[in-house]
Amino acid sequence: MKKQSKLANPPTPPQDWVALYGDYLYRYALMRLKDPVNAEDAVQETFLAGIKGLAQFDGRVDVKYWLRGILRNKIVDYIRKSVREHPVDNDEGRDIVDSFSFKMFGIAERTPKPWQFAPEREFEKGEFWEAFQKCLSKLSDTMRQAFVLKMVDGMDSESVCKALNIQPNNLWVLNHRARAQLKTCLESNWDREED
Amino acid sequence: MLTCKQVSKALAEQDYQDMPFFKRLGLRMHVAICIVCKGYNGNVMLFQDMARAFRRYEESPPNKVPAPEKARTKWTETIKAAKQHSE
Repeated sequence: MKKQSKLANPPTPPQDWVALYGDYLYRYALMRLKDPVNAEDAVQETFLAGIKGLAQFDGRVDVKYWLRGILRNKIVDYIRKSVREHPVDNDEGRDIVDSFSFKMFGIAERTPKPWQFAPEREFEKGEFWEAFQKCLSKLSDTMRQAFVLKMVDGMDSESVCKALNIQPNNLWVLNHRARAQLKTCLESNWDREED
Repeated sequence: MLTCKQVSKALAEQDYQDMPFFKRLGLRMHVAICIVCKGYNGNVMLFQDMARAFRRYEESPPNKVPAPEKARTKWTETIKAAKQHSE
């Protein structure tokens, strides 16, 4: 254990993990998997994998983020499994991909409607993110997963396509639709008069 | 000079804030003046800003919702059992 004490981020003992990271990891999993049972199981598997792999922990990041890395892989496994049971229709959105705008400019429409409010002014408000998460949960599973994995978690497109078993154009269409639906939902649910 | 398609493709692949300086600059300049893709790609960039801000919020939300007590108990027991097993 002498070697480990020199790490930039020394490991915390597993018996403290639930108190230190349990809530954070659970929220992280729940937001991505939506299902509380799956979220609970994913965190459980993460802790177990963490104990097993603790000897390999290199201290480059805090244990919290190291565990989150493990959890993210577990989440992708869960998503992969659910996609196998409900495959995504790769022909959906063909009309957009075949459109002139997309072929010529890589966009779905030239003049999307402007926002009814400026979302960037609300980024500091907790209530805005609660509304954002509510809107996110209203998207279809695949749309939500495509948006979260790609936009929020910053996974590369190839890995997202592999996880969701879809084509790159399909990922693009899913994210396009997710953005459009989130915008509509936020516009009708976010009350700017609050402040 | 970048084309709209190159800008759209780059934005589909990566958060513009993570791009190298000159690539980001070229892209922002294009989107700022282009009458074709300003609206669309500008909105994609706004969503990238939003996703980034959400990540920050997720790290420390003001109302921290705790995990269910049942789950916490189960995890604690699992960890204890696994530790005993590995010792």
